Amino acid sequence: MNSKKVRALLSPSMIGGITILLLLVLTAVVAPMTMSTAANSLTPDAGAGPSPAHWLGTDDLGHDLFSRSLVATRLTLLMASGAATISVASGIVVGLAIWLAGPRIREAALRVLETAVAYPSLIFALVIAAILQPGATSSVVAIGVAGIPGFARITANLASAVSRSDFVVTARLLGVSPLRIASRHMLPNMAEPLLILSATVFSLSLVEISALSFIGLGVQAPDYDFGRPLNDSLNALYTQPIQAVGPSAMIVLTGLAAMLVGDSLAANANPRTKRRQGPRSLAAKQTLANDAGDQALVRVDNLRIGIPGGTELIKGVSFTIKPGEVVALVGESGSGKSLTAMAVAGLPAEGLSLSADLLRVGNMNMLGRPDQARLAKEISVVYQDPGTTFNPSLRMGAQLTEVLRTHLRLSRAEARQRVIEALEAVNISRPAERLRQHPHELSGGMRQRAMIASSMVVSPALIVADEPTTALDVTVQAEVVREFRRIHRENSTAMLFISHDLGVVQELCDTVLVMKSGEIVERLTAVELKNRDVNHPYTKSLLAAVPVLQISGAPAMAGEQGKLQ
Amino acid sequence: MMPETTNSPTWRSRLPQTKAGMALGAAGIALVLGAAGCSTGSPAGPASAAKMSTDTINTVLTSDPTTFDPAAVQNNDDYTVNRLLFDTLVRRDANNKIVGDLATDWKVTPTQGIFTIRKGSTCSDGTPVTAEVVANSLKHFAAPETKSNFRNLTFGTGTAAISSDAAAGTVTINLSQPWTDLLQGMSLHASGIVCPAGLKDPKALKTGDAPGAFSGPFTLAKHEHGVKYTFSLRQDYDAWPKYATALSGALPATINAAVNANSSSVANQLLTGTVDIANLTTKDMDRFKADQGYGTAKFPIASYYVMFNERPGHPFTDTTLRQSVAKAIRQQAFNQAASGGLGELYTSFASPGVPCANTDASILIKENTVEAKPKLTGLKVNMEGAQVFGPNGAANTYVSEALRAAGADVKLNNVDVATWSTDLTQKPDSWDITVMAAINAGGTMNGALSTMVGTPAEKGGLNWGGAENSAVVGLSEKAMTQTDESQRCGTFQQAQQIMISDAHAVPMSSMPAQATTRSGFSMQVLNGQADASTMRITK
Amino acid sequence: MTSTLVSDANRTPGTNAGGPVPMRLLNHPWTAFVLRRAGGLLLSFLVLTIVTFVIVPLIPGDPAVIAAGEGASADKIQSVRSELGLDQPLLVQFLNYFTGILRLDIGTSFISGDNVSTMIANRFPYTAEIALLAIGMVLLIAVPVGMSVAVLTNGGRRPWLDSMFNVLTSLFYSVPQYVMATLLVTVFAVSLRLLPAAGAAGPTSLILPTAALMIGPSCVIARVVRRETAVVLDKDYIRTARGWRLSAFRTHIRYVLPNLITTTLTLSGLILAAQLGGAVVIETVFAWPGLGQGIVNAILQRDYPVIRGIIMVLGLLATLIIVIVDVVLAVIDPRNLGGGTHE
Repeated sequence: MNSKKVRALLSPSMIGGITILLLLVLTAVVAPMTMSTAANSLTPDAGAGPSPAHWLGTDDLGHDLFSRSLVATRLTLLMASGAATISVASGIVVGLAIWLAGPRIREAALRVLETAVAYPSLIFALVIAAILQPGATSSVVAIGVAGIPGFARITANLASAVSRSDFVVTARLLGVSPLRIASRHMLPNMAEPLLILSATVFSLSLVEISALSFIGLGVQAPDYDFGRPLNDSLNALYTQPIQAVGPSAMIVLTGLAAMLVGDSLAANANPRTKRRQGPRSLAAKQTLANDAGDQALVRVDNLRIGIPGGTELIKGVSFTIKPGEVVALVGESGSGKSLTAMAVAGLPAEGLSLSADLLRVGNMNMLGRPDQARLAKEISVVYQDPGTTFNPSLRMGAQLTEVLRTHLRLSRAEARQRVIEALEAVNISRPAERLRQHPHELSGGMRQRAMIASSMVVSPALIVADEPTTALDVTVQAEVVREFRRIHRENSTAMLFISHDLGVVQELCDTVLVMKSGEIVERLTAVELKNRDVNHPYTKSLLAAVPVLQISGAPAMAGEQGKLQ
Repeated sequence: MMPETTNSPTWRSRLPQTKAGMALGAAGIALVLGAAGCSTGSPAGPASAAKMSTDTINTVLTSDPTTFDPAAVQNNDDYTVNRLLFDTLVRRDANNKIVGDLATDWKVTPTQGIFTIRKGSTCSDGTPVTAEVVANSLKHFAAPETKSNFRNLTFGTGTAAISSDAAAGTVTINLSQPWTDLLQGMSLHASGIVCPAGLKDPKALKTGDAPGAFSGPFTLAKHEHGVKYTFSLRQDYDAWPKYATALSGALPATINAAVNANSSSVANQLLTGTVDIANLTTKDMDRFKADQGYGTAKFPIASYYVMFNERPGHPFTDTTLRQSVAKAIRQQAFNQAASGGLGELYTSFASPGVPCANTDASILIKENTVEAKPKLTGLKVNMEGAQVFGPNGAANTYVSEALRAAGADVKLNNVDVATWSTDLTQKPDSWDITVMAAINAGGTMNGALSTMVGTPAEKGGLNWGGAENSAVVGLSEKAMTQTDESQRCGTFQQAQQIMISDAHAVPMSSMPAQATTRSGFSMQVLNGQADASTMRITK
Repeated sequence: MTSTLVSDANRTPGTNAGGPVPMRLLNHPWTAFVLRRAGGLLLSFLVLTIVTFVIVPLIPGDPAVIAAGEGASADKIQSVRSELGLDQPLLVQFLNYFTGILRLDIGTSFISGDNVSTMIANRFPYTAEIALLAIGMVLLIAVPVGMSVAVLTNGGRRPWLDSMFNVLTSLFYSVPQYVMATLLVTVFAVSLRLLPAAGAAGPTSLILPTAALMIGPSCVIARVVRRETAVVLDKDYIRTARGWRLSAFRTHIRYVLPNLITTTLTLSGLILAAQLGGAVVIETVFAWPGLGQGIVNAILQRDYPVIRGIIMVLGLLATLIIVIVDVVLAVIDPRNLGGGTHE
């Protein structure tokens, strides 16, 4: 277990949750052994208020309410666990069975399950409890059974997601029996989310069992859980409210502990280590006066980016981009090229410290907080991975016209017209129709060309393209590179082009900066690159690893996902 | 259902009315609630509401009435609406004194009653209430096909021949067997007079959809099942009962009765002024103080006692064992468990309001756990209890824990009233001991005895306990021929002596309720019953 | 089961793609969608009919004993039994029940003789009133709160807010509904006299029950929205929107919110369905004449037609709500028609 995981596990809510839970378990074990007499024996001291002898008073049979609240812990925990176990275990079985069934049965079962899930589970439980006659066991069964549809539905959903994964598909092709696939391949892969949900089911069971008690269908004498003394106290809720305090506090504590543990488990399962980019306000001016004679469009001087108080990720990078120049940043993932490029684009990663002697685009001080509209008009950003670049729930038109409408204040119709023209320019057929479509209805190449088109509608001075060809297949890569070349030819737009693919880069760029471990290790011209006139061994190894684009049939480093490092 | 036993919509409905019988006791209580208790001797009738701050009374029903047909009444809410909608021939005034209502005069013997019907009364559709109308209504009530649960309590087990004399304006009831409870029976909710429009359409009568069926002061203006019932005062009504002390205050033009089963929330509504008059059944009773302008009067809504399955093969056929159970239980602790100590300790299985109820505490079996323990230790006991008796069935819980403390091996089956009553009547072998809460709907000793003596339930009778007990049956038959009250009570005292000292029944306490009025409103509690038709506006 | 469905955001993948659909019309996504939904409704209806018929008599306690009243003789109980049709063979009873339903007649109450449909119609508006109001308020409050917390704590910032949010929502979720309701009544009705303590009378009487009803679901939805927002904020299209230099507000409204709709709406639908019948506790505390109290009373009285009627109505409502949610989702985003891919 690495240190990050340990830290996540020891989050305050986890510590709190586990502590409370342990205390409760301890109470459940110890209290019935030591406090049963006070909790269970009839005494003449009935219906009394709080006193040193009875901290929370006594009920109308003379039971000590403080000990009763503690002794009840055992039954309550057992009941909630029992109900949760029924829901989870049966839910998993039903869910997998549905997934294993044929398509027709599955469809029908899912429809019925859907109604069952939506059915008020309390009513469900109520009927079951009424049939079974109230008591601890029937409460457990009632709440447990009422929870099955929900868990079955979740399992079925998870199963259908897992069933599309490679190893399940392979196993199926190999003729492994469905039952075996379910038990050997699918269950282990669903275990984690199911475990986390079990914590939720536990706290839900707790709440519902106490609701059942309220309706009078819960635990019956002589047994008692938290719900029953609470229910008994309702009679006197306005006259002797102290009677409700113990059981209420215990219910809340138990629920809280279960949910906190569930939260922490969930947080550990999906650690979000990605950092967010965003405009960030640094104490600096928006614009800078250009030095006379500095013709560069972009000037980066001694850029340093690091984890505050920790590792430095970019260690003093300097370069310039002249107007109309195409500069490439190449390097492996982790080399810091995206961090550098996004700093130039004014989208620095949040949570990282950033400093530079100078970082400007035109006269915009990228260390400060330049005017957003101006940024939008002058710097366009093209990202990799077109599959997720667009918001799947919005139509293309709304997204592609966003900048025009927001920052150039064009009307919807004008913006659409501009985008349609831009789409035509990148050879997208029936552009007006495309605008009415959702992203998933377009091919990956088409989306990336649309992205490029949208970056051009504002006629930016600089395009920052972060691995725009990665994740595209080879022929599409070529098309996209052609588009960049055309744009450059027609508009003389300066570009900062990030890639790990030297083949792509040499087709397009004037200058190539090779980055390794946060430093620029070699600066090359396109001609030098073409002639393989390189010195640094790292560059050589990069060149060796990558076949030249045009003659290559293999996808370039397909596994690389190029997240922001 | 509600958690609180007392609030459950069914606890009243399910309590055996027959067990309660009709209270005709000398010890009836008359309580005037709310402000302005002393009224002058002005004639009973609607006072002017003009000077009052409102012409509407907001009250609550704890559940929906199960029927509007008097002959079929079975729950407390049925009784409440029954008093608003139907008149009876006579009513019980303070101290169980019988006063006229639709009858202005009567003459009764053990086998006959002749009632002179008031002139000029009308039904809610304008039909005059003649002797014939009254006789037809009573014939319907007495007919075996009607199967009214109150029929035998009113007319006895023999036949009842009912006739009218239009010229004299009298109705005559002839009984084939002597039944001295007849006159009091004519004051029961079930003997309320149904007008021809109701008798013509029994279905509509039951659901409250026969607007011409009502003989009482109000009509059912609107009924939304589960939500609310609205009653309107009949402007043409004048047949008020001839109570000795006229009620003060103005009659409400409208009564709104919302359905609210939760006593705590009713109490909140009374405190915040959205409800004016209501009966409370939980500890919320204590939230109302007279010095804050509230009128309060406690009354018993049922009598708690422990009863046994005395059928062969069950442990409690043994008198010593029954007596040992009585010795293992403390009345006071029972009362605390069942009602938080708000109930009244009883000396009989019939409430003190029942005529001839025993008031001699010395015949009760004293608590004596030392004597009880050796007898009860190791005894396997199946206890069945209804959840509505005490919070979560605390009354049953107490008894079972007390027996357990005395060494018995008790299995308590705490179930809802429906299951409880089904098991006790239909599965006579499923239980050994139970806590009974008998409602005091009419309040006769006969009714109080009927759950424990006579023909067992499985043989078509009403006796849940299963032992015929012919000695007691004989005594109660004898009492019904005795017109002299002290003689009758002497007979009934013997019967109670047997029941209590042989521990066929172990008397416990009352199930208490409290009629509560806000400042500016009043209601009467007569003979242990709150009467909705006496609700008045006093400010 | 509201909160266990949290992760249930993704709709069940369509399985119709594999089935034989010969006709062209059937290939239209909406046709298939409507057919599937209609089939689902019909199926649910059939299952409900059978289940309600079978399950209700399993509750111990004889309806005839209850309906006859307790002073009733064996003879009377028997006559009530035959009056209620309970002495007929089960199959005959089922056929009567089933044909009744087809004629839209769900019978009359064993106890009061009222039409079950009227009894349900009396209660339904009250139930719908607080359920809809509560779910509306839940969305109005929980969605912005959940989104804000997600945005403010994104990338591990403000850990104290994160913890506070977790603890508070867990805490409020864990407080038993009747304790919460009683606290509200004590404070706002009994002590401050600001609002009615109970009963359904006028708009002010809606406030406390709605408040008590919405607290639990608000916690659930706020947590879900927060989690979903955190997921969305990590998506590439949010990066894209930032690249377009959209303001934070515009980004969240236009790019984050729509992607929460599926989960939130689905979950809200389930909560709404649950509240239509499951608000028993609140209905009891506030003397609110809803369906929940109706079914509890009916169960206590073994009033079979009423129990069946309410179970049936709640089931159909639940199914209908799901269908409506799905239609809305499909209109918003055709990917939800079920034929497409689901992530």
